[in-house]
Order: sequence, then C-alpha cells, then structure tokens
Amino acid sequence: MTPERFLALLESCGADLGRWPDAERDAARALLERGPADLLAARAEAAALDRELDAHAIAAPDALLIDRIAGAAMSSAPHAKGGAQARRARSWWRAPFPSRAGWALTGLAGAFAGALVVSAALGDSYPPAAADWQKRGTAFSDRAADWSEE
Amino acid sequence: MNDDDPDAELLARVGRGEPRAVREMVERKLGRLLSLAERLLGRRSEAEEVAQEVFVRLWKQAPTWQPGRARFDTWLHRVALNLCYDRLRRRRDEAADDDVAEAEADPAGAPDALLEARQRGQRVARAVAELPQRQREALVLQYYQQLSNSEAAELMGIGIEALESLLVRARRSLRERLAAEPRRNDDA
Repeated sequence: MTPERFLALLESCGADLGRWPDAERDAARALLERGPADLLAARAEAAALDRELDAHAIAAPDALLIDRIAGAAMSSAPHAKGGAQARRARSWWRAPFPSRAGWALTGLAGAFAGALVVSAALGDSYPPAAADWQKRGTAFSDRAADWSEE
Repeated sequence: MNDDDPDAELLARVGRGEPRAVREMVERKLGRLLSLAERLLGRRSEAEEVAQEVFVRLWKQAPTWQPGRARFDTWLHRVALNLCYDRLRRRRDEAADDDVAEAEADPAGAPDALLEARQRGQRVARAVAELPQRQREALVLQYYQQLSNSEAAELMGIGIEALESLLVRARRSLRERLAAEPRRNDDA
C-alpha cells in the first residue's frame, strides 16, 4: 500500500482499521508497523475526529418501545387480517397470561385509565394530555394502515 | 440472502408467522434502525415511526422472502433509507423552517459529567445534521452503521470511489465545523 492510499483511506474511513476495506487492511497494518511518523500523526488526528463522532450516541430502545413496535407491526399487516398469521398474532397478544409485551400494554392501559381518573378528579385541566396520547397512538395505526394498501 | 446471513433463521420464523420471532427481530434490529433514522432525520419521534413502518413491511413480506441476494440487514437498511428519503423530500417540499438539529433542553440538575457528554453529543449531532444530505448518508451508513464500503455504496446507488469521496468531504467538513464551534461560542 502506498502512503497516499493509506492517507486516502484514513480520510474516508477513519483511524480504526476495522472499518477499512477487508482487502486493504493487512497492507495498512504492514505499513503502520514500519512506523512512518507522518502516517502515525495523521492517524492520531483521524482518531481524534472518531472520538468526537462517537459522542453522537443514539438512545437504545426500551422494552416498551420494542413491544409497541412489534405489536403494531403484527396487528397492521393486511394479508394477516384473516390468515393464520394474524390469528396467531392476535391470540398471542390476547393470551390469558401475557408475556412482557402483554404486561407492557396492560400497563399502558392502566396508565391511561389512571390519567382519566385523575383528569376527572381535577375537572377539565388535564384532558388535553390524555387526548394527545390517544391521538399519537392513532397516528401510528393510521401510518401502518397506509402501508397495508401497497 | 446469503447462506451465512446471521438473520436467516430468525427471518424464516418471522415468515412462518411466529409472533415471538417478530418481537425477537424487533429487539435485534430496532436499535440499528433508530440509529440510522435518527441520525438522518434528526428527530427521535420520526425515527420511531420509520422503524415501525419497516417492521410492518417486514411482517408483510417475510412469508414471501426470496433468499439468495442481499443480506437481510442490507435489505432492512434499504427500506429504512427509502422511508427516510421520503420524509426528507416531504420536508423540503413543505419548506419546514424549524431546526431539525435543535438540541433538546438539558435536564435540570443533571450531573456535570453527564451534561458535558450530552452537550458534546448535541454539538456533533448538529454538525452531522448540517452536512449535505449525500455526505451525511455516506457517513451514517459507513461509520455509524458500520456497513462495509461496498454495502454502503450499493445502498446509495453509487460506486465505491464516489462513496470514499463523499466520506472524505464529510469528515473534512465535520473537522472544520467542530473546530469552529467553540470559537463561535466564545464570540457570543
């Protein structure tokens, strides 16, 4: 590998050789082992940028979101409406001893019911929040239905 | 789909209509999809909607999946990318004037280290969001999603040289933006 090619890959793929093309990784390692100061300095600079990029982390999904998305996918697929796939999905979600997904939905329903009780107790101050929650759930269902028509 | 596709077995179970397999698949892939969509769209809520739409499609198409071509993970990225493109196009059409990279308010009372890490992340997120769209796509696919150059290039419909060129420009631009930002703050 030429130093020029090394620098080009450094500029495009960053300092971690694991992200470099498979076919060029060994040649890059061999070049680095010879210890050229300019390439090592360039690699340190690329590593600094990599560290900055890594600060842009995305929050991992929680169990509630996983359950919501799995449930929405299974309940909205069109071909599943009358098929065995849908029946299995529906029975799973209506199982008498719900799985974690079932409990999560039960929890959501409980929270919603609780919000209504609090809302009723406090008069008309809080219904908008409950309505927003309901509207958001409907928006997801509608979006899924759009796909079902494809 | 390749024979050594790590998702093949689970995908077959999804295709047979096993609801638990769907949940397992969501558990396995949701983080990756959110990582892609949130970095491209800049909004968590939209990223979640995109991810949901991807899984609706998966549930619908898994029974008729034809193995032998792309890896399943690549197919998943293709679908998610298309959904992100649709939304970005719609945004341009609507000429939305809100700042997609606007940082969320910092939580009051967060420990200093946590706050600092959060601010660093928001600073990078803003810089990534300001990149031209194709540069941002290249960076997200190759760096953050850790796809190979050939997979990323294929998804973007370009050659490997073009991808490398986009990556070089993206990284140079980010280096400049990130170096410039503290100076802008000092000036304020």
